[in-house]
Amino acid sequence: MVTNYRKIIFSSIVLLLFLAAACKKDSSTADYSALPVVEGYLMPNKIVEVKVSLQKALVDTNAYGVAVTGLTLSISDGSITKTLTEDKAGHYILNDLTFIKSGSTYKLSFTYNNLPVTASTVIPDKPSGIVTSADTVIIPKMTFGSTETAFVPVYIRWNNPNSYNHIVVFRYLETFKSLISSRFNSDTVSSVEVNAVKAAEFELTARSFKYYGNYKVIVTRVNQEYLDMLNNNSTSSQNLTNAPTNVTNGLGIFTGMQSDTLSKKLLVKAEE
Amino acid sequence: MKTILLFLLFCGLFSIQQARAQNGPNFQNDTATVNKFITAPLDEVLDEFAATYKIRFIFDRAQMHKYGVSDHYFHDKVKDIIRGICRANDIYYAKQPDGTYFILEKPEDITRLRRLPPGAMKPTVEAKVNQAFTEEVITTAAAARPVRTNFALAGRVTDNATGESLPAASIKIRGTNITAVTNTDGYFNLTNVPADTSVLVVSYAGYQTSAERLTPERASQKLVISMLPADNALTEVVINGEKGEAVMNTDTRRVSVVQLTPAKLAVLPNIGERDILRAFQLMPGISGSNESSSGAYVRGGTPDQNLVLFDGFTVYQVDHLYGFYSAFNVNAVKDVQMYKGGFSAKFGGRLSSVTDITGKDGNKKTAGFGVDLSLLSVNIYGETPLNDKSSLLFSLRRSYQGPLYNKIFNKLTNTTTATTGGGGFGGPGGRGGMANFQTQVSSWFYDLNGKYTYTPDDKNIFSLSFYSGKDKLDNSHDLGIPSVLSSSVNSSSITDLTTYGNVGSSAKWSRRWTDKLYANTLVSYSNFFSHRNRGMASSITDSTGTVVDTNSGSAENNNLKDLSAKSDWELNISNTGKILFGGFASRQDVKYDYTQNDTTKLIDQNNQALTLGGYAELEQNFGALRLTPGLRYTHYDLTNKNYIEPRFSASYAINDKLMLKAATGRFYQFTNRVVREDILSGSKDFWVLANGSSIPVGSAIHYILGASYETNKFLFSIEGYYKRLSDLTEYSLRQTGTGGMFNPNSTITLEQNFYNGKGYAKGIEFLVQKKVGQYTGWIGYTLASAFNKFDVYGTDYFPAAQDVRNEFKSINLYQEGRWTFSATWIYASGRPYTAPVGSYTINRAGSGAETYFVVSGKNTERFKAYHRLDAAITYDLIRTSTKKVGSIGFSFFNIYNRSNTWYREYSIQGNQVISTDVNYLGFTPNLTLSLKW
Repeated sequence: MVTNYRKIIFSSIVLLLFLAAACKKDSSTADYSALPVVEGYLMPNKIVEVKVSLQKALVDTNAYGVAVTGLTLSISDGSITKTLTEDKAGHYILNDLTFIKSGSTYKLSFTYNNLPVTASTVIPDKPSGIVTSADTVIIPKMTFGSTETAFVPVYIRWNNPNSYNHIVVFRYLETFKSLISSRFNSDTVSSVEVNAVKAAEFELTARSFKYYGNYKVIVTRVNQEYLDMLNNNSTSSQNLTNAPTNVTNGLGIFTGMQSDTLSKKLLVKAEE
Repeated sequence: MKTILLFLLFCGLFSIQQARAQNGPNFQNDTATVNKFITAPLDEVLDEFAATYKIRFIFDRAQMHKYGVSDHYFHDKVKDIIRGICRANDIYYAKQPDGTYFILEKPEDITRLRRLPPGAMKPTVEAKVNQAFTEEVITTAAAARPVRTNFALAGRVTDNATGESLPAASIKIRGTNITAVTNTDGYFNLTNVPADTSVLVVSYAGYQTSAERLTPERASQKLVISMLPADNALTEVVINGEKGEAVMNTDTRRVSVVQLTPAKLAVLPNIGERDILRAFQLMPGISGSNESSSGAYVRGGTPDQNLVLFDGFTVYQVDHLYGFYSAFNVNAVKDVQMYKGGFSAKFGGRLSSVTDITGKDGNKKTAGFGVDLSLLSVNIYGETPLNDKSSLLFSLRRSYQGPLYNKIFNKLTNTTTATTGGGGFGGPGGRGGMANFQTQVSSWFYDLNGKYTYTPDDKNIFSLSFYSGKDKLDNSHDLGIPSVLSSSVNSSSITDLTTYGNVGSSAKWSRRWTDKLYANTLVSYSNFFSHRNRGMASSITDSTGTVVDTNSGSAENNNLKDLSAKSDWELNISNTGKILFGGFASRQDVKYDYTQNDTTKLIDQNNQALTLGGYAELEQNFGALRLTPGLRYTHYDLTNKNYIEPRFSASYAINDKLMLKAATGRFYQFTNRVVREDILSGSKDFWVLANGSSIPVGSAIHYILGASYETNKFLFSIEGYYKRLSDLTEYSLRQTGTGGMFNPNSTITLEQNFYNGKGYAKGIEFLVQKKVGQYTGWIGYTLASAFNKFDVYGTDYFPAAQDVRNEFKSINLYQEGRWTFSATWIYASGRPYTAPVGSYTINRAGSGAETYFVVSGKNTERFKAYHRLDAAITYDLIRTSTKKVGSIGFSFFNIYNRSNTWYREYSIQGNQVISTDVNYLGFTPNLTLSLKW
């Protein structure tokens, strides 16, 4: 009898613990795989362009996802709502150079898969006071047997008392590319975009450029959402996350920015 | 390398030879056959066998004389005859590795017989033995009538050979449920002892269980019970007396406590080092499928939720070589207790578990030193009595860059090299191509332990303990210099240097004030440091010989200093209860900085925190019921708040075999370790202090329920737990800026994000352990789950990275004379991971494009199940005196070379997303030689 009583206690504990440990079904959060990808950069005095595409499958070898056609995209500045037209597949435009204004807030909206896709952004002010410390960037020659000439750094400066975010773009203007060094030539992109963050200057180094020639210098004031999008460094299953986006029910970016261009070209040349 | 191996092998063979030679005259003639009629008292029979067959017998003549032998033997082997006689008379025999036979009336007599001076063992002086025993028999016989009943008994348990105190030994009064466990200094207090003629059964892993009958005289003195180390011979014995202690023990009276004695570790398979924390991974509830971490994933917790104490100070860096080996040298460790949950109010500051490690004091009787050689490291230790009151111990272990070290090092570094990601090295050249020019530089780890113990009298113990461990991991590469430039460019290299470690020290004073009051007070210092230096450096020499160096890169520094003092007291208030109480104060200073290009400090943090508090815990027995309520109070000055942690545990002994247990409590954690799994993206881990805002003070509540059924041979245990965690912190460091760390155009700012969330873990653990016999081992099964909820990942609970549903472990040890064979098999369901379901590419506003992965949900996918089989063979080198002088071990890790997935890397090649599995270690053999003098 005693053994029975023990057995009952023991087995009831086993049972109890089993019940306590019963599992709950794994539940996942929002399904990202069906969301459309939006790419739209709003700038004053430019026509409005928004691209909408599908995500790519993992094995898709195309550079970009399939365009999403036949959508009705509209952009509102709070009072006026304008509808974009599709000029190419998945490429929606508003041919109105005056609609986008500094300081205004714009809201993009369309419906995809019965879900309202929205995004909103503010157009930052135009950067001002862009100057360079020199018009020419001289890349010192690799020397054999003598001291290499020191590189004279060239600065791009602009006014930024309120610490806004900026990027600086050096747009390569030459038709025929002239490579600076054949050593690090993995990147064939000739124009350069750099993130200057909240600074008021950018220091060019001898390794900033890959090609000799003339560059157009464009300083663009950007919103935080643009920089956030660039922050993506997860490639391992241990830390993989979705890239930040300001598009609701979508992926990608819809952001305002405003540029100013240096009046002179910047010449990058080799040491004589 | 080959020479070292050869030397190692040579040393091994040589010592076997020596050990053999030292056996002297061959006693092992028990296979001779007997052909005659014998009728005589047993003692005379044994004497005759001893003389005729050169077999050594040790026995108590008075006892043996009582038994008679009367039989006719036809071609019977001596050993069979001995077995037959013992069976017939219901007595026991124990055959030693050197061939000596102990003939015993009761199994525990072996302890008594062995304690005799070596001279007394010689058959020629058997008369002396006889006398000694006659006396003892008389004293024991006279003690039949108890003088005192229901009294409290205080005593101490020590190692007979070295005089070391034995912590966590269990003392039981035979035939009752009255038990006690020794404290750190080996002291124990038994309450409610029924009579001063009771039998005390003392057991401790790695030692022979001792059973001693009290006498009124002994009971009134300071009782010191000295235990003999177990040797393999014991398991060979036909003894089925007292319960034995295996390599791992579960204390059935306490809730969720696992105890380990490092002395027995050698027989378990290993990846190169006998490893304390790895051994715990073989028990249910502690995950065994994280090869890259010797840290403890206890019941769905993370390693930083496990408090690791070494001689009282907190150790913040518990592993070597990216986590493959634990930082504690087995030769310097006496005892380890792991509290899997619901732990005592004495411990605090962590959410999940406590690993309490006690260092060896050093041999108080004779000097000794030893050396262990393995394919990974050299380990030297020595211990010596300085005088009759003090002893000293040191141990030093250093890895050498042998094949095993390189295998693991490359496993961790090369795999991450191949898939840099984040554009890290995207600028100059791409890293894959550099591997061709790679030169291996030196990486190593070492650890050093030292301990000085001074025991001026039987009331006071002073000890000074020191630990220092460091890893230097250098993954630097030299870049290839094009031949046209080689005349001017000396070098161009990528530096990737990581050093981390922990230095700690404690000074402890233990005092037994009265039989009822014991205290130990310690001051300790612990310093964790971690440096990571990555960058590119080039050096150019011009014709005049001037060297121009350029540097770019980043450096991370984390430094934690912990200065603590605490005092723990134990007061026996009555026959049935005791109070534990104490106070603690700790000052922590954490620095973390991140420097870019030697000049710009991107992060520069320096936080200090003062933690003050106290605790009290009552342990009260009401017959078979033991209740242990406790309360811990902590004031944390960074949040300026008080934290109260109520704790409670209870056990109820239905009889002397079946035990019911329960525990609950609240736990807080004030320091968090941030772990970055991707080694390339920065320091692997660093510590931060909770600040109450971005890093809240974590808290947990445990509920534990369990039962155990223990017989002399088997232990059946079942425990269930439910743990609720809140204010967890996850850390991410985001680089803001284009390019990457080494892109000259980058202007980087770092954004630190602390994500906060909560979680829960629950599970049920089963354990069946066979504790004695030639075959020992256990089977453990855990059904568990661990879920987290962080707002940043959505509104639902997702499986935590350490969530493993089923885990099965089978540990098998078999002893045959000097040989020990072991095999362990571990099966664990796959861990969850995050996988991309698609990708998309966005053109930048200015120039270039970025490709992103689309992740469907956090940890929604599961890796394939993890399993592996390990095995080891150990051969003991034993001298005539039955003292073990060393062992040779062969260990085989992952025998069937299973590819277990560690993590998965994603990269984009030709616009496609390519995933690469990074696997854990494949088949890895190892050889260990241990010698001691």
